[in-house]
Formats: sequence, C-alpha cells, structure tokens
Amino acid sequence: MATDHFDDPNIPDEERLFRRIHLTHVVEGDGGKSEVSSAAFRDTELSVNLEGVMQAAGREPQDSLRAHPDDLLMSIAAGVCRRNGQIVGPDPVPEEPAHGYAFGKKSKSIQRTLRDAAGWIVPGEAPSWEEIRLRKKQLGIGGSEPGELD
Amino acid sequence: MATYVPVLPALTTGLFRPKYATSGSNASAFHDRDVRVSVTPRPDCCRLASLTCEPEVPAWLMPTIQSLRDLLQLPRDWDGYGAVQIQEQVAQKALLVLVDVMENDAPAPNVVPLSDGGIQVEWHRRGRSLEIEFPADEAPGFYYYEDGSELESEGQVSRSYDRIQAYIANLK
Repeated sequence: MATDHFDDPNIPDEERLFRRIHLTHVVEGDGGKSEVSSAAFRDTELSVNLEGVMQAAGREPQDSLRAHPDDLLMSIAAGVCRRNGQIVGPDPVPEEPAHGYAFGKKSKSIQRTLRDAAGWIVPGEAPSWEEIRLRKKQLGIGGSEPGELD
Repeated sequence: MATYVPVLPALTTGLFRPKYATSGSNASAFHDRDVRVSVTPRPDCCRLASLTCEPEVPAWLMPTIQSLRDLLQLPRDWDGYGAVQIQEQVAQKALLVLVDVMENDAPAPNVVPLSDGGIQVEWHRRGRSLEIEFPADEAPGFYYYEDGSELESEGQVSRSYDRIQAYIANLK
C-alpha cells in the first residue's frame, strides 16, 4: 500500500483503471439483473491496475485476474476518478507491476458515481443475477435460495 | 448444502420475539438477549385446527442470517486487496438494527462485506436503492437514492430509524 500518494500527470484522463470485483460484491438488482455494490468502490486507497503499464508490458486487461480467476473485472477512466476528488497514481508491487490507486475519501455518493461509471471487462456485459447466484453457490460464498437454508 | 458451525449464537431466530401486529417495528425483539421465542395464545391466531401458535418469523430473517454467516466464513484478504475478516460483533449489530427497522413483510436485503471487516446491507428494487453501511470502526450510516432522479439522502442510522423504515416500506 502506498504511503506517499500523488496524482501522476503521465496517466491521462482517458486511461482505464481496472478493478477486480469480488463475487460477494455483486448483488441482486431489479428484474433479474445483477448490481455491483458500491462497497466495491469504497476503499480510500482503491487498488487498480493501470492500463498504460499493462499495455507497455504486452498484457491484456483480463490478465488482472491472473491470480484471482474467480473475480470479475471492471474498468473506470482515470478522469472520472479525478473529477470525483481522487488522486490517481502508480504503486507497483512485486506481484503486480501495474498496480496503482485511486486515492481519496469516498462518500456514498462518490462510491455510487464510480460504480455507475465503471464498465464491464470480464464478463463483457453485466451478468444476470441467476448467473452470479449459481457461481456464488459453486464457490461456497452464498447464493442459496431461502428454501435451501438450514 | 453447506453446513455451518454456529459461530454466532446471536444470529438465530431464537432471539426473535414475534410480532402479531404488522404495523410496528421489531424494536422489542432484542431488549433482553436471553429471551427466546415465546408463544402467546391469541384468539385470532389460535383458530387453526392444530390449536398451536407458530410465532411469525419474518421471511427476510433466515436468508439474512444465512448471508451474515456466509460472510463470517470469508478468510482474511478475501478480496485479494488486503481486506480483513468480517467481525462478528458487526454482524450482530447489523442484525439488531435490521430487526428494529424492518417490518415482517420487508424484502430480504443483500448482505455484502466491507474491506475493513464491516458489513453493508442493501436493496435495489423498483428503481430505488437503500444501503445501510456498518463499518468496523464507525457509526452505521444509510444512503437512499432513486434511479433517474436527483433525490438522494444519507445520514446516521441512529438518528434516522423513521426515515429508514419509510425507505424500506418504499421498496416492497
């Protein structure tokens, strides 16, 4: 985790930041749709992968999931983060040279804004709630129907 | 189906005191933590052939308890970003608040983990969303908004039970 945060001007506003989404942060929405919880965008130091660093290394966005194959992946533009009071910078770590952050306090409204602005990378479009529920059940992290409970 | 060790004795319906009227909240349910479900014969609920009174356990309660138990099974660093394990006392606090503010016929919330060991419960129904956040080391807060509208509202849970009850009623 970085201790000296700074906004890196070498990261353009249009650069995508990739954020892994844990399945527990995908919930039931309206009409059989899934919804990503704002909790996925809550951390003051929101860890992301920087698209520019990944591209320079010849890595595809999906490679962000290399060590976490059960997670999903979303992207958000650096400019969106900045316009919501966030500092965007690099924080390479041994296990992830493309690691970076969107640093700043995130009110509930900002969490929601970041969540709504994020686009799906893996899967390519918003999954259905049923898909998510079954996957959670397979992984043993919830997904039971009320009638299946102990 | 997964079998769970009951790590949280408080997270059971045994601590729920039934409500016979549907207009009030469950605020009395946890006033005495040793209380177990008590069956109080009432003429209007004892006309069944069995002559027994089953306490009315809200439909949302068991799924919510199960979801809380699921989150308590998450390991340290469950998100791969350094998250801490979900704290039992936060789960208890969340359930206590829900019992206070939710009607028996309220829809079950989604329950999600927070990276600081806290919990968030949330509903997304009919274009309306309500989130109640229980951070590990801060007072619980709520956030309500409606799609396609600039309406949004947030505040501390402890000062806003009436508003939260109204928002949940809007979600039915």
